[in-house]
Amino acid sequence: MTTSATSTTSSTPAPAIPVRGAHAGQPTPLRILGRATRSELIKLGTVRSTGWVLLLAAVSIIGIGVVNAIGILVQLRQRPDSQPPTLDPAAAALSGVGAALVAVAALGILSVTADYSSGMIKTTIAAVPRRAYLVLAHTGALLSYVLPVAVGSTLLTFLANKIIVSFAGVTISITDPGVARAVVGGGLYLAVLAVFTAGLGWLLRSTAGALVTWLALWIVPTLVIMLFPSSIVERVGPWLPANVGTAIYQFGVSGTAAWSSLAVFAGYGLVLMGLATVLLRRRDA
Amino acid sequence: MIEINQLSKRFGSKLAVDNLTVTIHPGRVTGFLGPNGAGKSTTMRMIVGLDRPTGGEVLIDGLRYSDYAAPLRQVGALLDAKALHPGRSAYHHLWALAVTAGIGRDRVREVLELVGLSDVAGRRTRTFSLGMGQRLGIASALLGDPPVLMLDEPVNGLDPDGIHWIRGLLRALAAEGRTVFVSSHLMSEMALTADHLVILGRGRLLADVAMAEMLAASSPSVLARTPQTDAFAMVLRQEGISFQRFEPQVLSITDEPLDRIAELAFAHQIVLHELRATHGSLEDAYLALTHDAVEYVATTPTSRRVA
Repeated sequence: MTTSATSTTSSTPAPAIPVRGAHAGQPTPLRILGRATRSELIKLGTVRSTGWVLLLAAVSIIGIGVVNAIGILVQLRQRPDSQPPTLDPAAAALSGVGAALVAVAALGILSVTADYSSGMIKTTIAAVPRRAYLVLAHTGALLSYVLPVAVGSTLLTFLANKIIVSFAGVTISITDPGVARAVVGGGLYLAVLAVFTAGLGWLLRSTAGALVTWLALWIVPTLVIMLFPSSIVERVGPWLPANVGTAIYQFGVSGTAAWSSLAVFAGYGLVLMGLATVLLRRRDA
Repeated sequence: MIEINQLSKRFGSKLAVDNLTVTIHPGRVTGFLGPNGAGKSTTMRMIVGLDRPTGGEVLIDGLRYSDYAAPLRQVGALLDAKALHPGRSAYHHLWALAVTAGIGRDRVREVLELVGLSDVAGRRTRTFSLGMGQRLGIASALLGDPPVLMLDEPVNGLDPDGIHWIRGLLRALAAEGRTVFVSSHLMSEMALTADHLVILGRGRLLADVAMAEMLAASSPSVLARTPQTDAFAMVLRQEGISFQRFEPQVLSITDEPLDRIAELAFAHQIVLHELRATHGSLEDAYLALTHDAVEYVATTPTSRRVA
């Protein structure tokens, strides 16, 4: 297969490369960032794992959400006059977000560490030597994939559930207080998680290392805090990595509490990214 | 033009590149030679900003690599043919690189054609042979049509046809006035391709010479084949002429003109079956240079041997 290609080139003498004219005008920093972001978009879009992992995240959100809605429908039909369903029909739409965590974290980590494990990072950094731009461009590209899929999935699930529970005469609406915030927030939460895990990828430069660190951050503090008195658990608990930000897609939480929870999670992500950028600039590629 | 200025790189206790100052000029192919671990790759990595120098700097046409907004248009580098994602196709790989420098897809197709990978452009690079990977690396170096090209072991894995092709390509690029900087461990390959040599040993500059000069400097010797080897050896010793005994009947005599050897043999009635001047090869000259460098460093830390 390849021999034909080889022989055609080798039989012809090395062709002169047409010299293109000097490129007048230095690109602006914004232009450089734009080009780098486009490159990262192409990179993410041209490996199979991106599509598969995003599909997995969408299937987790929609699948679990819809199954729960059907469960509510069945419950209401069998016992129409008994106690209200164990699960809030609106909250059911977001029941899959927790399961989608794994897929989104895997994407965040792999989107960075695949470059390191393959050696592609050398090519990438040689093409975009301003490393802070590279981190920014990668984050932008990652968000352009995760945000639409995550927010789209939660919205779609909510719409599907609205139709499903309507068969039991239950009405849920996106305009109900706190509902729009929670539904969109579920997607936003996953987007922040993608940035957070990508930060771990930049810091640790290895898929296994970043994955283990992420799991440890999510599990260990939650276990350790159990050893402390409940007053401390109440005060610190919501800010542990596994809990912070989740209030955004929960009902029965005030808007301020929900948004500040997500903001703190985003803050964690920013700190990680800042640290990653400093280290990336200092380390050899 | 690549200006390397007092460049140093330390890895822990090891000084990989030691105060290197050398300029790579345009319009010719400069070969970069040195034993394994001499610091060639580290130097090349510092040129494109992958490694941060411990000291000194590299300027490419007056600017640091990272100062270029679209560096692929300035320097085309092939450092590691495996520096790519195996799950991405050759076309997509080049396309992702091209957009960082505002290069269009036409140019991507052009370089794929140039290196002979057009037919397999859509295939994931995981399926590529070493030689095909090397061609893809060369394609990515040519992508930005850069005035400076830097290739680390470009013939690695190429078939004879490919080696012939890249030789012509490098010479053509240099003839267009570009700076072409190529490392190789194949001395014979360098002898055919390079006009100029930069030789590194233990991180230090050993030589920065024109190829012709290097070949001329490699000490010529005279080979004498005689059945009276012992007798002739005694004559040479008496005259204070240095020589080595290669085979039982062959003496290699250095630093003496052929005429004088012939006259000495005649005067002492030595029968010669063969007498000829040999020109030192690039390999000999290179080995002599690097051997000294390696030996020098090896003896220093222990200070066991007196030179």
